[in-house]
Amino acid sequence: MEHPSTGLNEIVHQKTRLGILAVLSEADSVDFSFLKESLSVTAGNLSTHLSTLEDAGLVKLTKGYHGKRPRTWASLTPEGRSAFVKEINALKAIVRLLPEIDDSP
Amino acid sequence: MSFDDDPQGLLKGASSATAAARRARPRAWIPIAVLGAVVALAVPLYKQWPLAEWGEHARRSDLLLGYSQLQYPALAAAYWLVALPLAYTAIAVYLVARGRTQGVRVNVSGIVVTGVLLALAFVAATMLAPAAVQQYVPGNLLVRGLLPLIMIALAIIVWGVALSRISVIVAGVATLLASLVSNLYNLENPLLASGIEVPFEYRLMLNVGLTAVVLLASAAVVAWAERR
Repeated sequence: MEHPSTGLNEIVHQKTRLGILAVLSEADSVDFSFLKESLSVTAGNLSTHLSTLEDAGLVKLTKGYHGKRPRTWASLTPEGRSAFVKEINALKAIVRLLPEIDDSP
Repeated sequence: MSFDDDPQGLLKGASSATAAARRARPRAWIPIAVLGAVVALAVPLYKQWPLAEWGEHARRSDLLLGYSQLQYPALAAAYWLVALPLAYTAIAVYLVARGRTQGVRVNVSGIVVTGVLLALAFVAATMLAPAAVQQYVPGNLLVRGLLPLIMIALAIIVWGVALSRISVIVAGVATLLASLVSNLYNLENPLLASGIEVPFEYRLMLNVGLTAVVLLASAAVVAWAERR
């Protein structure tokens, strides 16, 4: 039987990127500012992680305007949704194994 | 929000992130409550002619299919034609405005486009091509003038599927079941059997009221689910 850690995705298995996917999994699209505030990260940091996710085809970025103010909206691609679900399932499987590890000599 | 790098910390952080997005996104119960209010406001329009005059009026018009036994058939038909597009417009405005201000957008077209198209197609077909409607829609669904209730339920189900939200799908299915009962069953029968007299003119209002109550109760349940 494979260890559940083999199901972890290197791109997704990073706390900010996992947080981005978690937020996006609950909506059609989410504004850059909301992501920045809800994940407590700087704009530069968030931009870097969003670019990584976009390059991997997990997130789609759309630029738009609200009045004169430019806004960037991020949404999950089907691949991104699937990668997020797989990562969460792998993490849950690892957590389920933890008591056995603690009990072992 | 803080994330720890261990699996439990990552799961906890992801859970907090999804909770933040859920709190910010537009409330699904509001569109359902708006549609419930639209149906509730239709109740007074479903006053029938007294039993002694019913047969004469029911035979009188093919143009207002299913509405001819009502005291205000044109008003009832026109109500759906006007109220449903207005309601869906209000829903679209709410969903878009809340999405913009909070920065979390949800699917809008699932309920608005589906709802408007279904409502307009049905009412237009009923008023403009009653013969075609009679040919393709089962007869029992045409006698009470309540097909718009089914159209509302279908729009909610489509939206729930588009949102991937079980609570909205369940609300839509509950509304669909209620709308089928409203369309196919004389709701006064159990009341009459229990000895409760319901004047003939007001009996159809019970049918409209049932779907209105189910819609408003569904909105309350979805609101409760969204607060958890």
